[in-house]
Amino acid sequence: MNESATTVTDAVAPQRGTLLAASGVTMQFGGLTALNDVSFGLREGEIIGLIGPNGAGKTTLFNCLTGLYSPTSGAVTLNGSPLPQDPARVTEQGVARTFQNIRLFPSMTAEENVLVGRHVRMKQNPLSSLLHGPGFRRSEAEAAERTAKLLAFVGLTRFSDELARNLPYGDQRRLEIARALATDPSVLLLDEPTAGMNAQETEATRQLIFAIRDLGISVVVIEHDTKFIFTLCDRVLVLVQGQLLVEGTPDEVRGDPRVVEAYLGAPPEEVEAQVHGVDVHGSEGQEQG
Amino acid sequence: MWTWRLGRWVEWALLLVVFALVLMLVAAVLTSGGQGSAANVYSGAVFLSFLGAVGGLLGALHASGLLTWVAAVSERHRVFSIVVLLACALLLPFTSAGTEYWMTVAANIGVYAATAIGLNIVVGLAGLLDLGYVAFLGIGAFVAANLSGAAAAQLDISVPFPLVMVISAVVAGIFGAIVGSPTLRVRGDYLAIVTLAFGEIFVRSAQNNIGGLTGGSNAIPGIPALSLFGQSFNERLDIGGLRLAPGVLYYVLIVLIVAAVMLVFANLKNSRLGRAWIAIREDEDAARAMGVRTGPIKILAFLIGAMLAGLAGAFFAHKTATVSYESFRFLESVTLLAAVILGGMGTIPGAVLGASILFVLPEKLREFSDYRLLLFGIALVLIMRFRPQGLVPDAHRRAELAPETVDEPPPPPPSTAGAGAKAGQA
Ligand SMILES: Nc1ncnc2c1ncn2[C@@H]1O[C@H](COP(=O)(O)OP(=O)(O)OP(=O)(O)O)[C@@H](O)[C@H]1O
Ligand SMILES: [Mg+2]
Repeated sequence: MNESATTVTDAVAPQRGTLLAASGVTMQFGGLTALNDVSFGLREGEIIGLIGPNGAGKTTLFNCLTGLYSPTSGAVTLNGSPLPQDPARVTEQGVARTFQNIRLFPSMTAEENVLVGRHVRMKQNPLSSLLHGPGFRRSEAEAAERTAKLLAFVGLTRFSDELARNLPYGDQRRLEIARALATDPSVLLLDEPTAGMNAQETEATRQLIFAIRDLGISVVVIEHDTKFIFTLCDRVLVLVQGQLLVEGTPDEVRGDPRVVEAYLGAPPEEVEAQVHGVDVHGSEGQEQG
Repeated sequence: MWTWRLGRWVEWALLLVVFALVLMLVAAVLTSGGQGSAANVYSGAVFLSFLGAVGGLLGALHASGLLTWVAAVSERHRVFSIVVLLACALLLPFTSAGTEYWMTVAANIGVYAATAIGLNIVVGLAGLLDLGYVAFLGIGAFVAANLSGAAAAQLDISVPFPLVMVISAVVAGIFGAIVGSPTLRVRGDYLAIVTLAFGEIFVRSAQNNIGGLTGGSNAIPGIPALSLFGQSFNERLDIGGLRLAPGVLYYVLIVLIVAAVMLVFANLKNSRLGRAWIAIREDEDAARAMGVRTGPIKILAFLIGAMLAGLAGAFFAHKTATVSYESFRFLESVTLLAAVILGGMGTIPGAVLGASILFVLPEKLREFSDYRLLLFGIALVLIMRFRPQGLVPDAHRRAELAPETVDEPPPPPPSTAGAGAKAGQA
């Protein structure tokens, strides 16, 4: 048991095929240590699940992996080189994300939201934007075609002209995924992609994430719904109070006494809630950076 | 809702009639209650009642859905509408409003409309509050004044007007980029304060005749009128038997400038850059997470907005013949901002309509002298109370208020159908 489900503090040396790696990442906010010496590596074509109680530091880890926060100590590398300290450049280099509390552009249509995701991959100089010349029109047509495909991919074609704010909740989450995919990422970070979804929508999202992996994109998923995580992921990381407690396959993690304790140590209704993916602490309202 | 689609020619003819009616309406509104300065104690009141009637009529048409339908038709024939609208604007001098007085008022409206559209890029698209924006109009005007060969100007050179427009725009744009650079560090209210301070610095510097370039409290008078093929823009124009009022050529020029500015705005809005601006307005952090380099893009908004204002400033200098710092004070910045918000943020017709109202109303209410600004203020409050989204809101904002769209079937019931469709294709 201890063989396979190792505690990860004894570091993951960046190995071949590792896209995104954190080594010894520590993040402090004043006196609060949100992340404590976290190390892990995301390999090509892998789906990693990130679970842990509310306030464990999961979202904070995402923020460190996307250049929104710079870790107090430790380092994040992308394809072996240090991560730029600017979210826009991180996205250019192939890491895209969604947000726990949905952050679409509410007064833009679904199509326009995805088009903004295309921003980094489009080439238009201001002059061509001004005159709408042939080069401009070609790039707009390419982007529109790509956007239509992505909206179809996540099943939102019929909403493409609808304002993002008018979309049903679950579809907003899907739109956020389409927008992130529009940046042509090699790594996709999903922060609670099924929060607030019913069973049917959750299942659809699971299929969607598999389909994204099949496109050759590596995925890290934060979820409270452990059943969802265990049936989706190749590997699962358990974060408790800023520390990476356990890492392993779903089977290993499920049976690990430390995980059982971390979850069962909590009051019963909370364990119940977390197994069913209900967020008892209402983390939806929490705003990140 | 009205969903007819008629034949192409029928729709064209219909648009033609509509725009012709608009032209007549504009002329009638302008001249209602007498020709401007004509001493008629009742003219203000007549104008107000006339305006009320027109407003009521438009309101009724809007409520019946007819306006929305016409807007949709004109959207289908976009190029045609633009051409006809431009033609109508150019025909205004041939109506009863074609007097020197109204041509001057219209030229001023044009200056502020162009400036308001520039401001609309910064405020309406990128969502950055700029409280000192009129300074860019001033910079453009002072640059043009100094290059005009006017006796009072510091520089003793006379540059051809087309080149002056370019130089004014570029200089104003450079200042725009400088003023915009704090946006890298400050947001929201703090940015507003920075821009406010810049506007104030500009006015003080101009008042103190900085570098001898602004004439201080003497202003720069005697800027020569523009002329083309020996025809001064200030003089009466005779074409064949037609005799047009002085100032018509200025009017024509400003119509063309405003049209160009509109084109810039519309084209940029529907581009990668424009979408990035709107994304920043909507959620700056999310925009960054989508790879938008927000710093340079915000500065670009300031730069381009300022260039448009500088362009208008070059025209303004020659039209008014005197450029004084007094034309570019805080109140003017506020009025411009009011024009943008009143008309509808992020839209072209909104900015033009806003500028028109803000500059025609005070003209028309002159008879009320002391109460003029009070009435003006009340009118603003009323409009914002009953139409907070502006007179001509952005299509998107409009959609918020009336979610059911015209040509599409209503969206299927949310989640269940969505999951079904998804499962079907995954
Ligand atoms: N910008 C910040 N400033 C101060 N404290 C922060 C900041 N961001 C996060 N924290 C704190 O760090 C801790 C970890 O928060 P984080 O949002 O990463 O948790 P989480 O695992 O995502 O929780 P949840 O499941 O509720 O989303 C919390 O105590 C939170 O209050
Ligand atoms: Mg979180």
